[in-house]
Amino acid sequence: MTPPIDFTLPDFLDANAVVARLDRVLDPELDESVLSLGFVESVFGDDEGRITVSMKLPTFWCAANFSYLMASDTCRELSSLEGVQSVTVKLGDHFVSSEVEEGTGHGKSFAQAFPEGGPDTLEDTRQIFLRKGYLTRQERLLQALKRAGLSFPQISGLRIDDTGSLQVDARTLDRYLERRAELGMDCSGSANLIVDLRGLPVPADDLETYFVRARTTRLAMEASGSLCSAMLQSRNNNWTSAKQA
Amino acid sequence: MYSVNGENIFVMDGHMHFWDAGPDNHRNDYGNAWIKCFYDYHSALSPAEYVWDFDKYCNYGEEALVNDMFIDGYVDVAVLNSTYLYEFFKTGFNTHQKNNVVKQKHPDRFILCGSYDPREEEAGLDRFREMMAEYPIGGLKLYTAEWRGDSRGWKLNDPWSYRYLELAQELGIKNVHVHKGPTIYPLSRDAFDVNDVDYAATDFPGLNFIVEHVGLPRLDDFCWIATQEPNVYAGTSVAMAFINSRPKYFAEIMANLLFWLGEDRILFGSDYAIWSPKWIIDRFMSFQFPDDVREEFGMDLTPDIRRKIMGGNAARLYGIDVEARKAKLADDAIGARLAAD
Repeated sequence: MTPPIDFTLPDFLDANAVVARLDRVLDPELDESVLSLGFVESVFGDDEGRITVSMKLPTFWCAANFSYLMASDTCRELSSLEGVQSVTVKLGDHFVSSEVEEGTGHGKSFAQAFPEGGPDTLEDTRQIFLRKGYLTRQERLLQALKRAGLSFPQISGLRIDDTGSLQVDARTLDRYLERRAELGMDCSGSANLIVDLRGLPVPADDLETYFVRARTTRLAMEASGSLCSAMLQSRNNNWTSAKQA
Repeated sequence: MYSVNGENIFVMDGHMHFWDAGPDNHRNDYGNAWIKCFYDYHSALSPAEYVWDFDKYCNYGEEALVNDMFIDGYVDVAVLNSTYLYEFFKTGFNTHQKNNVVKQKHPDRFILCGSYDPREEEAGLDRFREMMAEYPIGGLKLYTAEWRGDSRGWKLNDPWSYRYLELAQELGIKNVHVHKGPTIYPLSRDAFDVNDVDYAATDFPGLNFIVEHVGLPRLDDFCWIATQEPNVYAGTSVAMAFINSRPKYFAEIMANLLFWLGEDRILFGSDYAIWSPKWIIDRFMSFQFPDDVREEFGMDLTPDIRRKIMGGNAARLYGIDVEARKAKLADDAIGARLAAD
């Protein structure tokens, strides 16, 4: 479904390393990588180490703040590769493509790139969605634990160390713990496996209610991601001339 | 009217459009980008046989509208949105003035929505009174993300917005549709954030707030608000269109809405001409939740729930006596065409 990415890289840059870095760039609203969402169309690097990443987002109107986060994260991830001198992100046919390209290319803050946008900082936005992403990943883990036959009281009593003996998909668990660490929460083996956004264990009696709420957040993110994928595919199919431009 | 097992189910489309987005009406490239984006929504989720060519989509005209809604599409009464977008379209995208032309031809088939923009402040209040006096406005459609000059949006609970809501209520408005859906232009602050609905719904308990597109991509935030505010309703356009190619997500969204809001606060909407009501209703009326969703939520779409979502809930909000309206519609021009078919 996703068209292959067109790579042109100088000898000193390894495509796999570039892919691994890009895979860490998330669409914050969807908590999915820009690679798996198919947003990256091409990566071009010249012999001087100047990299240009061309992205296509699902719509011309995809929000400026989220677009800026994805573009600046792309710059940050690729800039740290050895030999890379500069990174430019092009969004193509997008309502603020030039502001995003110029701003992220010169390391500007969002407020500097969009002075009319007001005092909003992208870090607040990022935090909101990192936390929603935490609930989403945690809900998938809770679903897996339920499928493995555990009751809510049993789940509530689990420690991180207990996961070794459970039949739970490793990736589901890893993604959850990865985000948990990113949010600065205790990930030691003796810590409770399920903790809320304050890092506190969820008591057995409250876990079902807690799960039911997390389930809605997970659905909001997944359904939105599904719509974005459908829109990107539709955009690619409908406007072939724009694709060639 | 959708007929099943000898029963005629009253259908209200809570959210549809009659737009002119042809090239002659574009004020700038944004007009073109706008309708292209709409077309991507259309082709992304419609079954292949319901995808139009782009030219028709830009300006489909009255005959297609009447056919797609009422002749082929089962709809009895449709809530006709007004969206202005003068920044993109010279004569507006689908203004209440233009919508009223088709409303006048089929007065019992349409509920005409008006609107306000609090950024017009005092002068706009007079224009709002004029609109209410001159047009048969049945509800409001508000679009908090609309551009105006340097502004990229507003909030329902802005002080000027409250002045308009007070006036609207004085003038007899009961139902306020608020577009809270896929993001179009939030610059830094999120113009599709749903939290402003929470304040307005608390402060105006006599008004009903129908949140269009159930807040997607903020479905969860919408559910928390709707759970607390009894006068907040789910407008399901966009979510409904998932039924064709993403039935699992459709089922999960409906199950969540039933869980958080209950069956009395969910309204069908096609978002025509983004999607046509016929295929959505055909699929919805026979849709069953997949086993896992049914087991997890302990519920399914019963005939009673379907009846409410398809029209019963909207009829209640708009004070429509369903049997009386059915009888009236049987006698209008469209009713005569349907009877002749």
